[in-house]
Amino acid sequence: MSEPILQVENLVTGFDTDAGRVVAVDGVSFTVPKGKTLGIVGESGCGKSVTAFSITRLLPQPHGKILGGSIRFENRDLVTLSPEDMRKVRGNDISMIFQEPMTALNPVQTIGKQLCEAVLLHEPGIEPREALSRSLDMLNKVRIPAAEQRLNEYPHQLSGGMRQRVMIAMALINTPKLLIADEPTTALDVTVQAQILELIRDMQQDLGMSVILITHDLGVIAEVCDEVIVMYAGRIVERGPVSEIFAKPLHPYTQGLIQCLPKLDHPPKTPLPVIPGMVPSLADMPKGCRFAPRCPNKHSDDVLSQRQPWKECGSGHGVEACACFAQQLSAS
Amino acid sequence: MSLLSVQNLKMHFPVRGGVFYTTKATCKAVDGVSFELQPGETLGLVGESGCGKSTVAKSVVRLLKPTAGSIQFNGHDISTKSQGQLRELRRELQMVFQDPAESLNPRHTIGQILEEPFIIQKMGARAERSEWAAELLKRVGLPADGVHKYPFEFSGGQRQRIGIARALALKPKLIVCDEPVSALDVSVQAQVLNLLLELQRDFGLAYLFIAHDLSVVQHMSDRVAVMYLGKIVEMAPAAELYKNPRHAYTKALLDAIPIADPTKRRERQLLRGDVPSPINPPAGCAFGHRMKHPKWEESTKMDLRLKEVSPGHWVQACPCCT
Ligand SMILES: Nc1ncnc2c1ncn2[C@@H]1O[C@H](COP(=O)(O)OP(=O)(O)OP(=O)(O)O)[C@@H](O)[C@H]1O
Ligand SMILES: Nc1ncnc2c1ncn2[C@@H]1O[C@H](COP(=O)(O)OP(=O)(O)OP(=O)(O)O)[C@@H](O)[C@H]1O
Ligand code: SF4
Ligand code: SF4
Ligand SMILES: [Mg+2]
Ligand SMILES: [Mg+2]
Repeated sequence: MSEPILQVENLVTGFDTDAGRVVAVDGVSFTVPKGKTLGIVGESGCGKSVTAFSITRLLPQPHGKILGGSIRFENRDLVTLSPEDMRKVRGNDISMIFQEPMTALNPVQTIGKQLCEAVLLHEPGIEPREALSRSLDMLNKVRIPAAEQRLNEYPHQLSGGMRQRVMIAMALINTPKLLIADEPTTALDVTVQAQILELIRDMQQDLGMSVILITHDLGVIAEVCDEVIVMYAGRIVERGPVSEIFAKPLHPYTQGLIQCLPKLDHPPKTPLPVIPGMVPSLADMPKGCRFAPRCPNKHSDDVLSQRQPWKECGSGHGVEACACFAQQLSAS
Repeated sequence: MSLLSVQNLKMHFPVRGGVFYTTKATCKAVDGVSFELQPGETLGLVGESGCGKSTVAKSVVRLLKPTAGSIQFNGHDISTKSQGQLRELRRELQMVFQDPAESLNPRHTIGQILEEPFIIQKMGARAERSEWAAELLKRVGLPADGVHKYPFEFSGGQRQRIGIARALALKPKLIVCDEPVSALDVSVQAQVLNLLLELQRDFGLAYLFIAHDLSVVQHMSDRVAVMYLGKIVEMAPAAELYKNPRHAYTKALLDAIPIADPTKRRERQLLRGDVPSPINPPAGCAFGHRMKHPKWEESTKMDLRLKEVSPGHWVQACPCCT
């Protein structure tokens, strides 16, 4: 395996709210190998975006805090980097595509100005004309129609998918070493989505870019990821090569997800399968296995009170498993 | 009588450009769209990013005043009504927005956001309203203690569900859903879709349902309309459209659906050609122009209004696509 570009160790991130401190990411560890794509999937609200904001140190202030762990990127720990150095890392090495474009784009600045600023942050001495021509080039690459005209427009004049592509352009314009893409194609139809994924793949091949791809679209995961981690309620519950995760999902949550995929032969307008039950509220999370209340596997009651061990199952495939479940796994 | 009847809807935006910001052009975001929707029916609306879906949606709920065309809702022509006259109709006509950040007031708690429709319609006492708000949250799979929190304290998918809960509050007759489930994992998505179907069955709600996930659209819709560059190019009962797509763009769209199986990775035929712009749209069929379709020249001399090729299946009347 190639050397890692990013190593996240035991990351804990929380928020101080009116109702006290809530922990949204609770001891998450993973590595991203250089030039590869790591997919992150998981229940809505499980901590995917908070993990991404922790790596880029863009947590909402003053409520959001990294409470523990380390994030190693090229031999530096991003957690302890000064805000100034961190800004440089974001301008040059790590880019992020945000889940909600409207929260990331400046509503009162033209698209052209915002793209040029991103270029300037990376190369302060650059000629304005050169910055503008790079911006135009990038807008064309993300397939924005009438790109030249769009440089003069404001975010509200663009469609949802165009805003998303402007953000993708902003993230890619400085050819980052690591791209963190949080739901990058939710507003794109499948034909444009395929083109954007190809653009990212091309940049990966040409420049050795590494990618963390957060998405609910298991079709996209299947097409572009090398490895996948599955998160549930702030923790990683399963990790493995993409082929293993789809062919042999182990954790009951992962199995549930794959069973819930809408199938084209499902009778229309009839109820779709769901994973019964609900995620516990952040305010009263069990210490132990957080999926236990919804888990169909045989398990003892004390799984709720203690964190359950991690079990490696070969070829890089691992899963959080209580004793009962680990036994079943070894037996099969 | 149709619940919603949209005839020849046009929405054109003025655009400025050029060195001195003077040259005026027109962005023909929606350029002659017609469709009907019956009570209790779902019409899916799909199409390339930027083709005008959200603009149709915002015109139907009159967040935009159409440039031309008529929109009849429940027997009222709403394309010309003033905002005051529209308030009455708002109760029956709701929208779920594509970008929740656009529609949830960041300074209001979720409780306030969900109670607001009841307050505007002067419904219920205070205690009753907060009970309803908590109930709505539970229906979209969120803990009831969420009513005390602010939008920023939620994840993207949680915010999307709050938008849905608000649209459901008054049990309207029509909900325009613009990408309602794009930020949800498949299990929560299924839960929300099941809820929408259940309400449709129980209360006869109709949906105009915009989504990029074509399997979701197929599951939810009775009929599906496919848009390309401001126009509907094909419209048919859902099963028929997926089985017998006729327009070249519909075929390209169905071919590009990603498959959730890593062993079936394929070299895809990516859609090429320069993406056309609504600012200077080409003559004739825009998709044919882009693909350098052999029949494109013919399309410039033709009446491209939709033609019925089999019962309920309408498609642009260019020779190759029909
Ligand atoms: N500013 C905040 N204050 C308090 N809690 C927050 C804040 N931001 C996020 N959270 C909570 O942290 C948890 C994780 O949120 P996150 O945005 O990472 O979810 P996600 O996995 O990205 O979900 P989605 O798929 O819906 O986008 C959620 O339960 C959310 O309510
Ligand atoms: N307020 C506005 N001012 C100027 N142009 C606009 C405005 N709103 C939309 N447009 C333009 O109208 C066209 C259609 O946009 P619309 O948002 O309807 O597309 P869409 O089909 O919803 O796309 P997506 O799938 O990306 O959300 C785009 O070219 C867009 O730039
Ligand atoms: S650790 Fe045990 S109880 Fe928890 S999800 Fe796995 S099998 Fe179920
Ligand atoms: S056959 Fe006509 S309508 Fe169909 S894509 Fe070609 S030009 Fe367009
Ligand atoms: Mg998120
Ligand atoms: Mg839209």
